[in-house]
Amino acid sequence: MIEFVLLVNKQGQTRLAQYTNFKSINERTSLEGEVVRKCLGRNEDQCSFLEYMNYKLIYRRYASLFFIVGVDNQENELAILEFIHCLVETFDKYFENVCELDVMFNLEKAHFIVEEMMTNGCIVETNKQNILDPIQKMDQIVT
Amino acid sequence: MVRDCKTAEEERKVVTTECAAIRTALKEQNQYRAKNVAKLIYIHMLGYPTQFGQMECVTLITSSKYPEKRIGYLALMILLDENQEVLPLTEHTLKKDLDDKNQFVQALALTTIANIGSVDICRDLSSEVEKLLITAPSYIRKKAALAAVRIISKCPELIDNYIEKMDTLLSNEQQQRNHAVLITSLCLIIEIVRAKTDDQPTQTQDLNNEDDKKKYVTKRKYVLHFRKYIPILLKLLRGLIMSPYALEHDVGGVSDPFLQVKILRLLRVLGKGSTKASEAMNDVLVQVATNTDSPKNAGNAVLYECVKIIMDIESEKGLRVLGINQLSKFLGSRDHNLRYVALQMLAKVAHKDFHDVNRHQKTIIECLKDADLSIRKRALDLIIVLVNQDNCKSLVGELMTYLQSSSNEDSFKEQLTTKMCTLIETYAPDKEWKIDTLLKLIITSGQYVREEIATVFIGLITQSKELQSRITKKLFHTLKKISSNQSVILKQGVLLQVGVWCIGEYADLALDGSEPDEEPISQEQIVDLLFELMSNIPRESINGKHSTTSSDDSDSSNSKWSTSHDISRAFLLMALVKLCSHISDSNSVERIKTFLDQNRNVMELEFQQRCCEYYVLLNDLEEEKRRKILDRMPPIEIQHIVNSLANSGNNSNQPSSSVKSPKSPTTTLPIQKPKTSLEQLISIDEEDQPVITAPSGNNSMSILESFFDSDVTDVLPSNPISLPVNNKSSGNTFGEMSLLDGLLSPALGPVVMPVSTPPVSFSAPNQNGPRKVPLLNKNGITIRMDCKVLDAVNNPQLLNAIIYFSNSNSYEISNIDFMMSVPKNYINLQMFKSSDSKVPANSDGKVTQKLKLTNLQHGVKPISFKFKFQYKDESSQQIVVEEGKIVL
Repeated sequence: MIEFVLLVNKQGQTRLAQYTNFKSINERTSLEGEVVRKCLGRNEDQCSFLEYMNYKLIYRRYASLFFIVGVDNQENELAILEFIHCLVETFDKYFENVCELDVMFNLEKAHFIVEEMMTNGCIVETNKQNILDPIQKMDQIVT
Repeated sequence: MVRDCKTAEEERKVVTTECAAIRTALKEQNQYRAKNVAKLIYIHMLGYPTQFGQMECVTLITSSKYPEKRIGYLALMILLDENQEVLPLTEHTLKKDLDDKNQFVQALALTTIANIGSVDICRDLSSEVEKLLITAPSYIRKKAALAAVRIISKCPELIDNYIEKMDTLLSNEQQQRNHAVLITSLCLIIEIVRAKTDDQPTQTQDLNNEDDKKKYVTKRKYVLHFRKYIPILLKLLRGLIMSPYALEHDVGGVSDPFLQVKILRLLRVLGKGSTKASEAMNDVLVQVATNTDSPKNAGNAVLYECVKIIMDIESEKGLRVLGINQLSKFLGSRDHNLRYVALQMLAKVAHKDFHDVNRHQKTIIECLKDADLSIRKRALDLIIVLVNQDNCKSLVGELMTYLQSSSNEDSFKEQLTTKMCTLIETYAPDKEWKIDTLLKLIITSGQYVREEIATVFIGLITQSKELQSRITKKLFHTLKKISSNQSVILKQGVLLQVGVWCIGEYADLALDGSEPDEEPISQEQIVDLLFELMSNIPRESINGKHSTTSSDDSDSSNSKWSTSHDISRAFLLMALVKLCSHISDSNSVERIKTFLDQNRNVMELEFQQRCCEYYVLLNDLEEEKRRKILDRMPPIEIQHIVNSLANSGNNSNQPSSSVKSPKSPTTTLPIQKPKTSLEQLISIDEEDQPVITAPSGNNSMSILESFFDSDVTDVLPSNPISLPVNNKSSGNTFGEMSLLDGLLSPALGPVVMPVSTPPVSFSAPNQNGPRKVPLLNKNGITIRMDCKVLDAVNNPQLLNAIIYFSNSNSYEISNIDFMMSVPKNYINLQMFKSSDSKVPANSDGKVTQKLKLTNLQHGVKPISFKFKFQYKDESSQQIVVEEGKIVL
């Protein structure tokens, strides 16, 4: 079960946050603060898994962006790691060379993508074309 | 859309302005509503309240324009949780959208249900979801499956409706084409089989049991139901492994690892506990394990999941070996992530496949040197599981080398030290090794060693005659090295206590210097060392005021340190006294005596009393009795200490007070033999005051030894000082005291006598009924304080007390004035007037005075106070003043 997906930049600012279970503002900020602090302090020589409270954190760094996924202890860590990569590839495909600003200025689109891939803590779709289809269709309506 | 701000302050300002703008904009109903709500999502992410936008979300989802609807739903899912009041308002729209012709609108409604559906929504819309689950296009079906997951977790009674749908899916190959539908459906099945058992945690115990049983039965039913689909699942899995390259789902050369992992996961749940089901999976699992290439993470994820299932179900021996070998491959990999999961997995299976895991011991130990703390922790966990009696020496040796060489952070070292203590305790093959290793551990990382270890260690030493000399020498040299460095000494409390104790006990053995190549230790050196240590330990707090040397510690650790300083000083003093009987150098003996004399009026009650007693012991007691008293300790039984250590060993953060529960005080007395009638008589007492254990005369133990011994066992941090005055909460304390005095006086009377104001100490507060604390008993005047905690649950800090004044003289006393002073920093005192200013002759508790004490640091520090009692003696017309100090 995926509990949350976070996208954080090197300065520790949250750029995207999606939670499976609702959390109050206080819970969120303190959780994000701690999680970010823990993940950002790590280097290349360390593994991508961390334990924090009841969560297992799985993170992956792409240039200046950290993708952090919190799961319960049932998940396959390596699969989640792969999922993160899949997510990034999808972002990349949609935004064409995704960067921090893309996500910032199109936050709702980023949320759509995450939502297509993961709902209620379960992985839904991992095929990039299938993920992007509905979003691109919507874009066509708008333009 | 929204901009960067340099500082948090700036950001707050901008967000506030923007929020205000959005608020106005929302009221105006213009065409930018979607944009505004999107901004709200961003503001929400930054961590600002956005409740005012919730109604707007509800409006937006009713919009006929898809993009607006889309944003509306998204905001709904992010900004709302299922408890919000607006949620029921959306139900109508959700229902409408589920029936919409546009599949994307339908999908949106389904996703919303899956993410935030409340119990009501789930129940009401379940039938729509069921319909969509089977007939709709795959895009809708995958969403419907996840909505179903939500529905059954919210309303377990609806599970049966979905089972049949899953049957259709699993038995129809046409339905299995789409991977996304498969993966979500598998989610649903896993959810069904897992059928939540923790839905009603508030139920009472009995109901719970029955409930659980019922749930277990239904759960079994579902597992059995889906077991018949194992062949289909296996076929699917085999299809994935064998399938030619399929661009659509390829990830790093592996065909849809996510789906593979999901299938394996479901198989794991189904196969657990069934030999038959497990057997059926055997071949395919071998295929998965051998056919999956693992140059990339995707393949490893599948392999890892495969190992997981192998270990979890009832696999054959060969398969398990295959699994463990796979893990060892991970372990040898350069990928940190693989090493991590391998260690984690191995720790889980180590108890079952001990020998197979143990073969990889070397690699595991290597992981202890990893650069990554996560991995080191996992490796440590695993090694702990692997230790047994046979490999204890080598493994603990490895850990020790590691501990000595590493520059790890403190928390990890502490963890490691605690675990090593437990290991040494549990698996040490022989005593000599045990003592040596413990000593090494204490020296290496003494600051992390729990105080109980000192007790265990001392107990061991007393039992091992042959080692006493060598160990004492070693301790002497170690202490000598650190004796001038105050900061080290203060950290190394346990080392200090152990070392000083051994020097006190076995100095004569160490002086013998049996090994020729060693530098002999002189008597002066020993005495010098002890005095140097003594001068380097800060004098202790009175009334909770701490000495300045430790003031840089935080408050909580302060009290712990001060406690251990007190104990250390007591250890030192005792060692000095004991030395007197071991050494012949008269200068040194004189020096010790002078020291005692000088400290007979120091401000620390505990220390003062010890000095007084020891002084009398050394100066006034007959030679033979003194010799008996200062004789060597008999071997100490430590089994019970070990047990209590093992019990509390799992939680290193627990205060050590848990080691000694007040309810079983007799077990913490290390001296068990010989049991005299006196001991048996008093062992039912609530408190293990040391005086009790001192039998008179007929064996080598003495009051002082047992007294001293109490320091070894007494680990109560809040009140480490047990004074030889027995106070039972029975009221006739003084009767008991005199009884004990009478019993003990032939041998030891003078030792107890010189205490001017009897200090009082309680180690086990009695919660029931008032506790009777004697404050004074002198010249026929008795003052007693009855204290009671009125509300132990809600307000345990508040202590109500009544002071009773009694006068057994034949004359009355007048102008009585009872005054109290408390440490202001944590105790509040409220005192009322006494009921009378005179206490009549031969009266017992007729005059009273009430007071209230609030201990702001309840549970951390005991209540303590000083009192002064002033009265006029009517027979001699003199003003008499009495003083005392009490620690509750």
